[in-house]
Amino acid sequence: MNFRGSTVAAFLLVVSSSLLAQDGRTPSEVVDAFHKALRNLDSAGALSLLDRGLVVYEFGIVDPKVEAYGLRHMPHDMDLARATSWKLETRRTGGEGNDRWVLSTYRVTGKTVDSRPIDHTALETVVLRRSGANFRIVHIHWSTSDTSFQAEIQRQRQSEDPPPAPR
Amino acid sequence: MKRGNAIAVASMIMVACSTTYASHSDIAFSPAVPRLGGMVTEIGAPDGKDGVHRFRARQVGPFYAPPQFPPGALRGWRLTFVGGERFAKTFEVTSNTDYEFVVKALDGPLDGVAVNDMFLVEDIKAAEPIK
Repeated sequence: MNFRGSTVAAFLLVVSSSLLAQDGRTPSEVVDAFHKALRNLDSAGALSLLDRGLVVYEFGIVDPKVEAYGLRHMPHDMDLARATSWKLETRRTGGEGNDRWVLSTYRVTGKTVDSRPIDHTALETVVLRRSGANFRIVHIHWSTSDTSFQAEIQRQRQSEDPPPAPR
Repeated sequence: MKRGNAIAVASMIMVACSTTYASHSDIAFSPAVPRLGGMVTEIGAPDGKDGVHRFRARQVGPFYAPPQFPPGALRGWRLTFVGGERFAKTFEVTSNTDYEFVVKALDGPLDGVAVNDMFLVEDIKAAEPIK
């Protein structure tokens, strides 16, 4: 290929990659779509935004595989999303190329099943990786500003785990 | 299963799920819908029309639910794979026993589903409107 041919090819590559990026959601839009899918009980929609290599850190508990999160904890997150309101308070985004991050804080309000009020700040780190035209979530880390609250979550999450298999 | 029995079984699952269902917070939330988890144990043969629509499975959660799938009670429930080749694909249960499912394709047939693939089955029609 001569110089002109190379130039045209490079131009087309830039244009096509730009179009692909426009077709897909931005990292922030992916995070918002994930929350929306949880709230709408859209299991397939939420899962479709997750990378198959997903790892979730949730209040000191680890979901090392997407299957573990999808089966055990995503349903809980749907129930919480359904029962509460998550108002975005702050957001920062960064990264470059195929790897991006979105840092968000939310004011979470609502009521428990026994009508106790919920009002706390949830902290969220989401790491995304581009897969084709779309960004998918490869890591989520949730925590809360309330340390006693976080300790209680850890206790409860661990109590939900199945008993260890006998050796 | 008669409709009344199916409702009774679904109610039992809902009550079981309502006991201590914790999420992000230090408090319990009611499950938004009755749901169960499963793992594929055997794949059915192609049905001669457009692929595989039958498989066997065992229940893998939640841990407070009855240990086996309630026969006939999951008809119409949404089934979503959380792993395997059909990851994030959705089906509708047309019939079930305590260990066998027949599904209707919403995202194509079950082709590609393998033993040990995990899925969620949810009574999505039971969801109440968002508050």
